[in-house]
Formats: sequence, C-alpha cells, structure tokens
Amino acid sequence: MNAIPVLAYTPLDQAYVPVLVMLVIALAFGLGTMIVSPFFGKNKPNAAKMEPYECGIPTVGTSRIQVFVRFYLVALLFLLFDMEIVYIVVWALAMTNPANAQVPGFVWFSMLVMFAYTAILLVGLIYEWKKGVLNWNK
Amino acid sequence: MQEIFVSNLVLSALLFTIGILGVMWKRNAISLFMSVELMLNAANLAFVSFAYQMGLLSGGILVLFIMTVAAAEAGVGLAIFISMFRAKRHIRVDEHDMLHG
Amino acid sequence: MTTLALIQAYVPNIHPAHIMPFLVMLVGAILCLIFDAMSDKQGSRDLLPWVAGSTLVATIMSLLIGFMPYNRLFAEETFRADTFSVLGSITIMLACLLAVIMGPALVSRRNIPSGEFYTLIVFVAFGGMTMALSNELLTAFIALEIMSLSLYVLTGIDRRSSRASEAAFKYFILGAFASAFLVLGIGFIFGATHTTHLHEIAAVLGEGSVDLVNGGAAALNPIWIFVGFALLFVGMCFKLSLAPFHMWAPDVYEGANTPTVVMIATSSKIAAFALMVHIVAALARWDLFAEGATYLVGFVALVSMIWGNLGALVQSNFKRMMAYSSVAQTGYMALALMVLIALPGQLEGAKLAAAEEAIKNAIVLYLVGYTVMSALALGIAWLIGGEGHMAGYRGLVFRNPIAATGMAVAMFSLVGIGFTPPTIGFMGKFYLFKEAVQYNFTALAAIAVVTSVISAFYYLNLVVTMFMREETEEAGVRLACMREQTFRLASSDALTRVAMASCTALIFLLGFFPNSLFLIADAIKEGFLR
Repeated sequence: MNAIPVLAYTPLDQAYVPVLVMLVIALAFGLGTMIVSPFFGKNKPNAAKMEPYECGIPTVGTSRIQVFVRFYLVALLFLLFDMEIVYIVVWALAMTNPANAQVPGFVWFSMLVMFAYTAILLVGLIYEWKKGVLNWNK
Repeated sequence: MQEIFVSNLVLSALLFTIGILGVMWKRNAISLFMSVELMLNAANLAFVSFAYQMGLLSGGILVLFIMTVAAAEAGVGLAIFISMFRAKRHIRVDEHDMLHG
Repeated sequence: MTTLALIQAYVPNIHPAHIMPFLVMLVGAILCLIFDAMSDKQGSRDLLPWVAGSTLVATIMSLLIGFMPYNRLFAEETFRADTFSVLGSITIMLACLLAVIMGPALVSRRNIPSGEFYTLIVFVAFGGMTMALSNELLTAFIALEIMSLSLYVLTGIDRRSSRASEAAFKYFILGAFASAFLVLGIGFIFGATHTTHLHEIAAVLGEGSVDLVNGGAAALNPIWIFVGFALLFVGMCFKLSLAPFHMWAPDVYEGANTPTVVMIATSSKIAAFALMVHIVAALARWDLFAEGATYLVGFVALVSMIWGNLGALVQSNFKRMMAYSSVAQTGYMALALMVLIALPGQLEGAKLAAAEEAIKNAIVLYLVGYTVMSALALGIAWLIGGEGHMAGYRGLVFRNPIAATGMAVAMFSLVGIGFTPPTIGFMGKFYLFKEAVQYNFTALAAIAVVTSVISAFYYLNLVVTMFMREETEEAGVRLACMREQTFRLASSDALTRVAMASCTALIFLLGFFPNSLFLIADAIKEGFLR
C-alpha cells in the first residue's frame, strides 16, 4: 500500500489571489452599476414606483422580535445532522481516491464503516421521530 | 510562509482574547455562547496553522473532531437556553440569580 | 473475506477484545435509547433502569475479566490501562450505578423523561471511562465532552425547576469556556511536539527535539509547551472545580438533582484526575517543565485547600457545603499531583518509577475514598430529604438513628485527620500528606493538615446538629418540605439503602485494609475472571 499522499500546499499569498480578483470584480460591478445608472436613466419617482415591487408585502412592526422557540429546536436538530457531512466528505474523498481503489477489499471495508456510521445516525433519527420532535404542530 | 504562520497565531490569540472578554462582559446567554464558540474556533485556527506550518495532515483532521464537538455543544447549549427561557421568559443572565450562598 | 477478517486486515492494531468494555457500554447506551423510543407505555419504561444498570454491571465485569492489556498501549496506541485508570473506571461505573439506583425515585417524583435520564447516565460512565483510559489528548478531549455534555443535560433535566435550568446554564457556560482553554492548550502542545499521543510527547520531550516531516529536526519550543500546559491545566481546573476556578460548583450542586450531583462530585473528578496524572507523567520527564509547573499546580492546590475549607465554614445549605468540601478535597489531591510533577527533579531510574507508582496509588486511594464518602453523605441526604438547609438535621438521631449514624460516619471520614483512624478518609489523607512530606513539601503538607483541622468545624458541626441539638417542629417540617409530595418508590429507596450500607462498610474496610484496593488491581492485571 502506498503512503498517504501529502497534500500539495499552495503558498498562502498565491492561494487567495483568485478570491481577491473575484472580490474586486464583484465590488466593481456592483458599485459601478450603482454609480453609472443615474447618468443614463431618467429619474421621475411617483408613489407606485416607490412601492416594493415583487418583494413581498410592506413590513409590519420592527424586526427585533423574539423568535418562536421551535425554530431553535429545528436549528439545533439541523446543526447536529449537518455535522455528519464533515465526515462523509472525507470518506467520499478516500473512496474515490484512485490509489485506494487498487487495494483489495477497500470498497467493502469503507462501505462497512459507512454503514456502521449511518446506523448510529439512524438511531438518532428514529429517536427524534418517535419522540415527536419532527412534528411541527405538536 | 513564516510571517503567515505567525500572523495566524496572532489572529488566533486575538480571537481567543475577544472570546474571553465577551464571556466576561456580555449578559445575554446567546452572546455568551457566541463568545465561547469564538474561543473554540480560535483554538481551531491555531491547530490548523500549526498543521499547515509543520506539514502535518493530522492537525486538520483533529479540527474536524473539534468542530463536531462544538456543534454538539451548541445543540446542548441551545436546549438549556430554551429551558431557561421557559422558566422566566427571558435569557438575561443577570436576572437568573436564584442560586447563591 | 468475512467481516471480522476484513476489519482485522484494515485496522490490525485494534483487537475487538481489547475494546470490549467500550463496545459493551456503547451498545448498552444505544439499547437504552431505542428501548425508550420504542416503548409506548409507561410500564415498559420502568425496565429502563435495569437496562442501564445491567450495562454498567456488564462493563464492570468486562473490566474485571481483563480484556484489556495491562500497562501496554492498545487500539492504535489510543488507550492505556494501568492501576489508576482501571480502578478509576470501576469506581466511575459504581458511582453511575448509584445514580441509576437513585433514579426511579427522582423520575417518578419530578416527572422526568426516564429514557434520557438513564441513557445519559450511561454516557457519563462511557465518557469517564474513555477519558480515564485514554493515552491520546484528542480522544481524552472528546471523552471529556461526552461526559460533560451529558452532565449538563442531567443537571437541567428537571425542566419544571427553574433552579435546575439556572444551574445547568452556569455549568454549561463555564464548562464550555473551560473546554475552549483545553483545546487551545492541546493545540499548543500539538504544535510544539507534533503529536497528541502522550507516550510520543514524552519521547519528544526526552530527546529535546522534534522530527520534521521533511526529514530534518527542530529544537523544541519550550514556551509553547508551557503555554499549552498552562491553558490545559486551567481548563482541567474548571472541570475539577479547583479554586480559583470553582465558582460554578456550589451553584450547580445546589441546583442539580442529587443523583447528578453524585456523578459530578465523583465520576467527573476521577476521570479528570486520571487524565491529569497521565498528562503530568508524560510531561514531567522534562526538567524545565517540572520546575515551572510545580509552582502552578502548587498554587492551585494551596488556594483550593484554603478557599474550599473557609468557604464551607459559612454555608448553611447542605449541598453547598458539600460543594466547597469537594473543592478542598480536590485541593489535597492536587497537592499529590504537584509532588508527582516535582519528582523527576529529585529521583532517577527505578526509584523514580517506584515513587511515581506510590503517589499514583495514594491519589487513586483517596479518589476512591472520596467517592465512597461523598456518595454516602449525598445518598443519605437524598433518602431523608436533607438536601436543603442544614437546620433540617436538628435532632435527626431521635427520628432516624440509622441515617444519623451513617451521616456521622461519612462526616468523620471526610474530616480524616485526628479522629477515628480506621476510616478511608484518614488513610487517604495520611498517604497523600506522607508523600508530600517525604519529597520536601513540608510547608504545604502542614497547611493541608491545618486546613483539615479547620474542616472539622463544619463537618462536625453537622454531627453536633444531628446528635446534640433538640429536635424542633421546624426541622421536621423542613425535611418534609424537601421530600415534597412524599411519593417515593420503595424499591429504589431500598436499593439506595443497601448501597449506603455497603458504602459505610467500604469506609471501614478500606480504612483498615487500604491495600485491598490494590489487590483488586493486581487481580485484574492477571484477568482473574478469565
């Protein structure tokens, strides 16, 4: 079996250049259109034009309100079942690594591991379901 | 390379300190918890920058586990905040003061 | 290829038999969870304590049988079983078993969801055992979190009590705060030594240089290790409720339900101490470290002994008194920890190994003793409903002589110094202080003795209240109020009484024959049930 391939590190100052370019372009486009458009369009506002168009109804009251407590419950259930992706991604990367695919029995072994992992998650899901946490109207 | 490593560690230390100050000064349970999460992520940043500097793959993997633990902590924390909220209809820490000597 | 052969081919270093106790416990916890989810009637839920209890007993059996190799690394060098961690694990299991026994009365009285309660107790035991056995910092951290998260929930599981939610909140925020320190500390140690395995850390420190990935070697950075250990130690101080990081303890003890307090007071401390001893033993091979860390740990031990005992003097609530007393008692054990750090500077070779073994044994003896004593005190308080104001204990001997006698035994044993030699409290303190004096920490040992004498004031004050004060109408009312709704489960209470009787017996047994504890460890080393 080959040694674990060490990730090829890009030096940090180069790695983020694309992000920087993207940021500059996005800012330039957004600000540019805002700055340029008044010079080309005619500005004649009236009441109907100033209404929010296709953006839902006008807001009522302030947005600084207490959120219904059940949203927190959904948020934390989501959070817990979200974290499993972190491990599944690593697993999937190892599965699709051509170096690993050559090893006999590797696919079966990794499937076994993933089944065990999913089974534990499934226990959690069954527990949640049976306890009625997923029922919004309860 | 070395400068980036040092600046990462400094950033991590700054974030950690901001977290500590937040825990000491904030009086809303959610803000307190956000400060704690900031501290945990500062620690994660330190882990990653060490791993990156030394070329150790394991450091990055350790961070995944710590992130999971932080998520579980968030789950339990939010649940406790909900039960606190049910008791008094608010989560201002100062006014939950039934236990004292 | 069969499944087992497949697993063996890929993880050749993990033998299924070696990790048997962990598997037993995990399967038991999941069974509890599924059992709770699948049972529709309350009647079938009454079987839950039996499932949880038998899981714990099965784990104790699998520890006794000796599946795990002794004094050798196993399971990818992640775990290591020695006398300290195995005895500690068994004690953790027993403390959690006591919580399971006390459980049904609590569950029916306060209408607590029973499935979660018992499952979380099993998870506390699982986290504690993994932490005590682990040889790898990240595994230890995750185990610590499994244990702590379960304890946070158990603290606040009584949702109708706003005191419980407040206690859970305080415990949670300070616990999470502490674990952030812990993670950063582990991070710095990882950065300095390039590993999280304790034996590799010890090797790196011994060499004084780190092997790099590209083949070279770099000098060790002492500052990172110091900062790392300091952060890690602060984090562990929070978990161990060592002063000045003990602020949560009195509030949590007061607000939480008593079965949970039993676990907080005992299981979490045993596990954290086992981890600390292993970390310190790995780091102390480096003399530069030993010098600095001795002051740090010694300072914490000193402050804990003084602050804990003085704080307990002014308490009027029983559980708050027990909380401050636990701060003081952990301070005594931190004293021995400090001696363990300072030891490599004074001795060498085989002598050093023998002395380290002796100190570890002294700490584990005191830990087991402390577990038994506080379990007895808290258990009796639970049975008679005396978890509140101590005025309720006035003249207890006239109403309930057996409970009063048991409580008096616990209190005398907790004092430990100067009275009734043959109790575990006396023997434990004797060995701890002896080690401190033997390695030239006479001043600290003297302070420890003086603070023990101070502790006699508040422990014996309770005894005086029970035996020499007249019973008042008010005292009876106080106890009755605490027992509220008076609906108690006879079977649970009877089992708790049996457990209390065995605790009392253990206090004297270990007081007369402290070595019997290590006979068990020797027997496990051979795997005597196999």
